[in-house]
Amino acid sequence: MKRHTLETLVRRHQAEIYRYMRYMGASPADAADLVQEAFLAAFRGKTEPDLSDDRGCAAWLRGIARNMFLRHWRRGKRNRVVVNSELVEAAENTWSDWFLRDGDGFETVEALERCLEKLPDKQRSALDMRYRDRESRSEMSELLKMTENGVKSLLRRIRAGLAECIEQRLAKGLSP
Amino acid sequence: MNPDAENTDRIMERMLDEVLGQEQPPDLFESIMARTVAIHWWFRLRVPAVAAALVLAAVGVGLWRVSRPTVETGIHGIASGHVLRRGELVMSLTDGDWFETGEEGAELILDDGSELAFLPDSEVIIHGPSGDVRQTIELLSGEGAFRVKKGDRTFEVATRIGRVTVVGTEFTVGLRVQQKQKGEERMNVKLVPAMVVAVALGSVEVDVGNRTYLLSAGQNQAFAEEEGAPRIKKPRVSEKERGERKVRKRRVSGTVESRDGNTLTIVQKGDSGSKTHTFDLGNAPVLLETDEYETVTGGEDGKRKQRKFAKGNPYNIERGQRVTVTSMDTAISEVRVYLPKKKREGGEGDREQPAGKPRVSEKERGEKKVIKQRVSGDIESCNGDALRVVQRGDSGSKTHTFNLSNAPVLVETDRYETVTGGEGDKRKRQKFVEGNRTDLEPGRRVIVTTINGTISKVLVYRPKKKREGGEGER
Repeated sequence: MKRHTLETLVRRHQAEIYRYMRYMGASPADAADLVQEAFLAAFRGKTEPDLSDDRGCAAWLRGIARNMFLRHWRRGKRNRVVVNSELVEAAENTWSDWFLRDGDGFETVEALERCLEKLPDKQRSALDMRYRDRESRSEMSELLKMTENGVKSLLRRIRAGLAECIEQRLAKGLSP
Repeated sequence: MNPDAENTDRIMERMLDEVLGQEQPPDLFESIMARTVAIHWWFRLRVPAVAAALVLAAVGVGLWRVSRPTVETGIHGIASGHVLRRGELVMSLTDGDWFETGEEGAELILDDGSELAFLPDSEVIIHGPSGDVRQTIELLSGEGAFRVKKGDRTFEVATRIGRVTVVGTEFTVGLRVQQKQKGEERMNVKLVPAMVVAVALGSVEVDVGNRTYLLSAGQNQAFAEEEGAPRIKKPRVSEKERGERKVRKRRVSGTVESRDGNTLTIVQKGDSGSKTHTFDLGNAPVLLETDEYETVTGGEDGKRKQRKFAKGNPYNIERGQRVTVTSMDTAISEVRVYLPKKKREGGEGDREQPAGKPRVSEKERGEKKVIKQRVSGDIESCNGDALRVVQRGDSGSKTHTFNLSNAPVLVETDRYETVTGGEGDKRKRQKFVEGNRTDLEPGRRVIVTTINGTISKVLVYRPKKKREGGEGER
C-alpha cells in the first residue's frame, strides 16, 4: 500500500475502528494498540483498497482489526473476558446492524444522546453513577438502597431500553 | 441472555462509556504514520532487533516491498550497482549515474554486496571511490535504508544537510520536512528541512555543519538544515561511568586553635557544640582581612563595598583568629583570616555590639519573651473568677476559660474620646469606663487580653443593637 493511501485510510477510519475495538470489548489502551496494528498490517499487506468505496474500506479494515483482536485475546489467556470467534462474529453482525447505516457510528451516538435526555431521573442518575462517576456496583447499591443484583438488573434494563430507543430513532431518522 | 442481546448490551455499555464517560477515540494518526518506518524484510529476518530500533525513529520513513534480488552482481566494479524493482533488474548504474525510484521505491545492490533500499520518490546519485571513501551515495530527496558491508574504506551517504559516514553497519537516512517546536509554546510549530538518521546496527558518524556526531545502534536523530547543529540525545551517563567526580566546594569557619607548619587546626562552634577540623594548608593562599574597603560588582545597584583582603602567608595565622577555610574536594583552595573583632568596631559594616554591651542571650539575661494574646468572643458564663468565653470562627467554636483574678473590667460606653496615635495623629475611639464582674453577663461580647497567660484586662462591649445609630456606626 502506498503511504498516502494509508494516510487517507487512517484519517477516515481510525475513529470508527477504535470504536469497533472498544465495542468488541477491548480496553481503551488495547483498542488504541489494536487500531495501530490493524492499520500497519493493512499497510504491509498487498491489498490496494479502493478509496472511493468508503464502506468497503471500512469493512476491510474492520476485518483486519477483528482478526487482530481475536489474536490478541487468544494470546492473553489470563484475560478476564472470554472471547471466541463466534462471539466476535455475532458482535460484528450486531455492530454492522447498528453502525453500517451511518459508517462511523456518530449518528448512533447522537441517537443515544437524544435517548438519554428522555430517561426518567432515577435511571439517568443510575447511569451517571456507573458510567460518568465510575461507581462500583456495591457503591451504587448503597447509594440507591438496592442489592447489587438489583443494580445489575436495573442497569441492564436501562441499557436495553436505550438500545430500543436508538433503534427507533435510527429507523425514523434523527428527528427529535 | 441470547448472544444478540449480549452483544447489544455490550455495545450499549461502550456507547455509554463514550457518551457519559467522555471517552473519545484518540487521534492515532501521528503514531501510526511514525510506525511506518523502514522495515525491510531482510532486516526483520536477520536482525529482529533492528525493526524495534527503527520503530523508535521519530519520523516515518516508508515501507519497502522489494523482493530479495537474484541478479548477479559485480559487473561494474565497486562504483556501480543494480537497481531493482520488485526483485527485477531495471537498470545498472555506474559512477555518477542518477536515478529516481518513482512511485514504487527501489532496491540497489552494490557490487561490494551492500544493500540499499529507497522509498518511492527518492532521488539518488551514485559516486565511485574517492580517497578513503569507497562509495558515496548522494541522496537528493527521499529516504533510504543502508546495509553496508564492511570494508577497508568508508561508505558515505551525502545529503544537502550533512554527511553520514560508516564502515559497515545498518542505518536509514531520510530527507524530510520536520516539525520543529519553538520554545515552550507548543503551537508555534515551524517546518524545517531535516536529515533523519536512524541506526540499526553498529554506529555512524554524522557531519552536519562544522560538527560531528556519533550515533550508535538504537539511536535516531533529526538534523535540521536551519541550525546545522541539532540537539543530540545524550545518553545518560553517571559520574561513575564517566570516571568523573563532581567537585565539592566546602567552607569551614572557626577559630584557630593551632598552626603547626602547614597544619591548621580550627574549632567550629555551633548550636550543637564545637567541632575541630585539621587542614593541611599546602600551598593554599592565605588572605588577610584589612580595615580597608574595596568596591566590587554585585548587590542591588550592581556595586557593593567589601573588606579588602591582603595576601599573607601561613605564619600570619595565629591562635584565636577567625578564619574561613575553603576547600575543593580535599585540597584547600584558600584561607581567609579575619581581623580580631575589636579591631572592626566602628568600621563600616560593623557587626559587633557597642562596647560594654556584650551580646547576652535572653536565657542568660533571665528574661522571658512577653507573649501578649487577645481572645475575642461571647461570654458563656462567669462564675467567681472563672470566665468562659466562646470564640466563634469559620472552622467552629472554641471555648476559653480565664482566671479573672484582679484583672480590670472595662465596659464600652456610647461616648467617644480623642486619643493621639503613634504617629502623632489624633483619632476618636469609643470610650471605656471601669466596670465590674456584674458587667460580665452571658452573651456579651468581650475581648480578653492576656500577658504570658495572665489576664491584663477584659473589654466588655455593648450589645450590638444598642450601638446601632450611634456615632461611628459600623
